[in-house]
Amino acid sequence: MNDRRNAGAPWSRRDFLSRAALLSGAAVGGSALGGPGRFFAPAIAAEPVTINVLTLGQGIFGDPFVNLSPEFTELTGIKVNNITMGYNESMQKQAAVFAAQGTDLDVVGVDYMFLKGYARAGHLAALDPLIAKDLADYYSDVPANLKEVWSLDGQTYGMATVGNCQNFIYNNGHLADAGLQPPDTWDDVLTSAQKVVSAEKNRYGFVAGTERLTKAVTVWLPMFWANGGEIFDDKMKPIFASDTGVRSLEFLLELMKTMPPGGGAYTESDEIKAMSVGLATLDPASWIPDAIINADAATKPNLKTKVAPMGSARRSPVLGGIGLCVSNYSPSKEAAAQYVAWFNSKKVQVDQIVQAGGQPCRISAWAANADAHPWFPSLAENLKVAKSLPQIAEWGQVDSALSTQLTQAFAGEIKPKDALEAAQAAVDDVMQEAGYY
Amino acid sequence: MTGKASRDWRSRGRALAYILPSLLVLALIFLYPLGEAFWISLQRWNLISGVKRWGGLYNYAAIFTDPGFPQVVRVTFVYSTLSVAFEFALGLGLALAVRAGVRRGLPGFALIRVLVLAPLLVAPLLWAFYFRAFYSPQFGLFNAILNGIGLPSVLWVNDADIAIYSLVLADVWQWTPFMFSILLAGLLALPSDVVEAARVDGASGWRILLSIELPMLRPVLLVAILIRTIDSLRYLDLVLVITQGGPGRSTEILNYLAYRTSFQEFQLGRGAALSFVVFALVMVVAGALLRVMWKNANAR
Repeated sequence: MNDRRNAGAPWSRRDFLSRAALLSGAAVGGSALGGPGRFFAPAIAAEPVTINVLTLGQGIFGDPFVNLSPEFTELTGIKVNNITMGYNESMQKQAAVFAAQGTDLDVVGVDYMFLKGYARAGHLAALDPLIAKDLADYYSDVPANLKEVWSLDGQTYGMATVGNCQNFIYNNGHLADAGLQPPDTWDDVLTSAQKVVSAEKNRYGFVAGTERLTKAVTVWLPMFWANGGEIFDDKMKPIFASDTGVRSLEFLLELMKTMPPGGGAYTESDEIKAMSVGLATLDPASWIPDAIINADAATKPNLKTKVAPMGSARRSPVLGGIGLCVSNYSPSKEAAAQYVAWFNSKKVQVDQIVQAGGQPCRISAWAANADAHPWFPSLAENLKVAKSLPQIAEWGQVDSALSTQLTQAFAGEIKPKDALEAAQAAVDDVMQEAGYY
Repeated sequence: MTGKASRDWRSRGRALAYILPSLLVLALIFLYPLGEAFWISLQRWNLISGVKRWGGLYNYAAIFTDPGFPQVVRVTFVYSTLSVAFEFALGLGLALAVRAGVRRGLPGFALIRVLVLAPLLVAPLLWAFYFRAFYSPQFGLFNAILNGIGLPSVLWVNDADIAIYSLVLADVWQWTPFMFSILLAGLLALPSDVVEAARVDGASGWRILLSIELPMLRPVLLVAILIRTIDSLRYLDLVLVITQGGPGRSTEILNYLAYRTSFQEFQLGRGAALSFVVFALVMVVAGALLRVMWKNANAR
């Protein structure tokens, strides 16, 4: 068949197919060969070390790293590429990068509850061989519970860097107006919350974020722990559907009756706003000081903070904190460890981290910065008694199972006992499947 | 084989060989991730600990035996059905109104036609954040408006009984313009001679709409409903940003359950299995709608 093309003649089907195939073959072949870059040797030059640092973008867990990294670069010559994102995205990204054993990240801001899981899986580099002298100095100046939280089998895998836990914010003006003193025990909190509610003054008692994601469980836990409750026994079997657990949840539901309407599914931003405009009075499970920072002119002078309420057994705010770790897949572990050590050094913790928008983890730094913010003294006291969430790889599933049932109890769909028993059964399945027993 | 048949076969074979590289690339981009995701769905894989072991159909069995699963499926269907139904009704109403206005040359309707599309210009995730603020029980815009006209506040997404309907409202706000644009295009493309003939015969506007225009518009209606149904079954933004499946489990849809399992519980295997359940559900629903379209096309 003569398929020579006459100029101006329309293409036949054969012409179209053959030309399309030529083009696609060229495209595939070109990309397989690596394009033009493959044929030119890269220029060889000594490049300064650059480390990729993953942290949150804003607030106490993000601002200090973004603001102080340039100074670290100036002092050490190590360039820093700050990768910042929101909490959920950061946790998902690091989990994915670790699972793929990616080399994209050198320093990672890890939430302490994932630390031991990552360390056991081999994703984190032990810091002891890299910065032994810095660690010795660091441990001499942090609360004892932090060493246990950030290490595994005697090796340190992270440094706390930014210290945080739940703080108790209250409106002193509302309490005084009702003839009340700031409450010291959980029973006092309930009594005060009930007495301070006033429809004509548009004033409510207790407030907290109660939404499913991360909030529901950490609202209930401080009351549960303060009354001697434990989530797991020695064999990691869930035991929270005990009398203590049920009573604590019933107690929380009583407190929630003094919340503004919609309290069963209250977002953190509503919680903060409610305190900052004087709508609510008592926020004993506050994670960030934004209510005080953003309070209106009339409310701000009345907002105070104090140590967590006492239960029958102890004071038990939930420990928070995102610390810095070195990825075991990092091609620049020494430089990454230097970054971690620098941010946890006495000088940076005492003189710079607060000014850069963060909170310290060292005891000396809390003492030196006690006057920096009005909520610092109570936060420092709370950090000494704060209790950590279980640091197990299955915590995401445990939190999900618990929060699903708790929010159903908050919504009045099920009774507290049924909620905790259902949650305990679900967590029992999780722990069995994970091979704990 | 005859000479012509043999030449045809060689011609087809050569054509296939020419386009084979492109087909391979497409297969790599489409089929490989699908296959990999299915393989992951057969694993019991904790992303934090890195422990990964063969589970076979364990994840699928766990999904279907979860006592909460029927509720999640029910909520998914309620959300999808109500959203698409309201978007269709409102979209059609708006399209008919704008068509009538444009045809009569009424002032402003050409502009209204463009303004109705405005919600589509904003990213869905942004609308989710806006609606989260609007729905705040004490500080949101909607309750401020209600209180301003003397009505009591509504617990839009804080009440388990109505939260799903509030999400439907947000979904309808976002996606009615999409339905409107497809239906308006279909209405404007209808042949006018049939309608004119009916008018000359004395048919009323309603009779023309119900007996002539809507039947002629059926293929377009079905396409619009198919696209929105598939989208609504896969949608995630509103639930993720506004309610996270709460209060309780009243707004937990399948896609959110898949997201939560994968990226909050870090159970990648079960999350992948849930994604395939969503995929299968979308295929079943899409298949049913396509069958209706096919029957409709054959009948014509």
